[in-house]
Amino acid sequence: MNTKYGDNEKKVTDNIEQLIPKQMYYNSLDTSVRNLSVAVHESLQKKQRQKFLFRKKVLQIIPIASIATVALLYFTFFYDNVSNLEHANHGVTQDFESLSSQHSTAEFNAIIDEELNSEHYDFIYQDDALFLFDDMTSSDLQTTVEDLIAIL
Amino acid sequence: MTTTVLFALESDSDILREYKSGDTERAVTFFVRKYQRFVYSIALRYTKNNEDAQDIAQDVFVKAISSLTNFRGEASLKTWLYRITVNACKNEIRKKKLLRFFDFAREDEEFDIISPEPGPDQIHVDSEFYCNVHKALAHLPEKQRETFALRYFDELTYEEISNILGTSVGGLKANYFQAVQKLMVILPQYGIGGM
Repeated sequence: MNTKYGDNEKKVTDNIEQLIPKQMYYNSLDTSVRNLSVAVHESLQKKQRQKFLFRKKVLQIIPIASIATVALLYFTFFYDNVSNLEHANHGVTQDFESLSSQHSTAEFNAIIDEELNSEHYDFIYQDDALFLFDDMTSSDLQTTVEDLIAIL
Repeated sequence: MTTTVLFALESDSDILREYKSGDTERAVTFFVRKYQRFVYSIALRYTKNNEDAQDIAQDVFVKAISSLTNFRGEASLKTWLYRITVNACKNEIRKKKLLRFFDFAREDEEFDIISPEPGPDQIHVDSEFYCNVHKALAHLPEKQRETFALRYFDELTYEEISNILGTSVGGLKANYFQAVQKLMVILPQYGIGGM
């Protein structure tokens, strides 16, 4: 059966070979693709060059980006907190100094104790910021101190 | 005196080995030379335009070479290239259709296979012959056309074509026979064999 088909196919192919000689077809194809190899090499080189330039750009940007990021982080978290804390500490010291100058030490302590034992106790102690100055923002601290002043 | 003999890279495994070993330039040259006819003719059958076919063939090779190191060898290089080329052609055709929809591209679908560089007379004769063969092939349904081209021009076995096109060997044989019968009638209309 296969042999029969093979014979038939050969006959059919011979007929078409007379109409479309393979070699002539290949020659015409070769004419069209004669520069393809060169074009592919050029494309690959171009692609390689683009990749190289991209990597070079990235390598140039990385140090600048790193420095900028560190600077940004410093100013966002560290510098801001330090200056706020200094400012807050200064404000608190001044407020307490002015309070203590208006009252004698015994009076001052009595007022503080009284207030700490009063209904404001929870409010004052719930605010962890009183004990953890490091975690407080300047406005929190200012508000707390203002509240305390108001109470006193 | 030493003589360096450079052997031609005939088989796919030789090309792959050479490429992976680092001598990419030589491997690429042999790879392109081996498959340029194959890829270009597929692109031409689908796009019917010389310049588009050349651009697609170039893109297909660049794409294939870029991922040659990842080629696992599950299929043959020819099958792999066929799939990449057909996908690229279908994308291009889709793009062209969209452009045509917005009237940015020309309407006609005539073959445009005249060589961009005018050359000797033989080149012109070859181009004309080639153009007419492809015009005749365009009359066939896609499956018959591809079966005929892969079997007759690229000399693939029916098993290989079956892997590429996903049709049974029996179906392919029938397609090939019908394609030849039709071409025997169509080709003389384009001045091939009828003279």
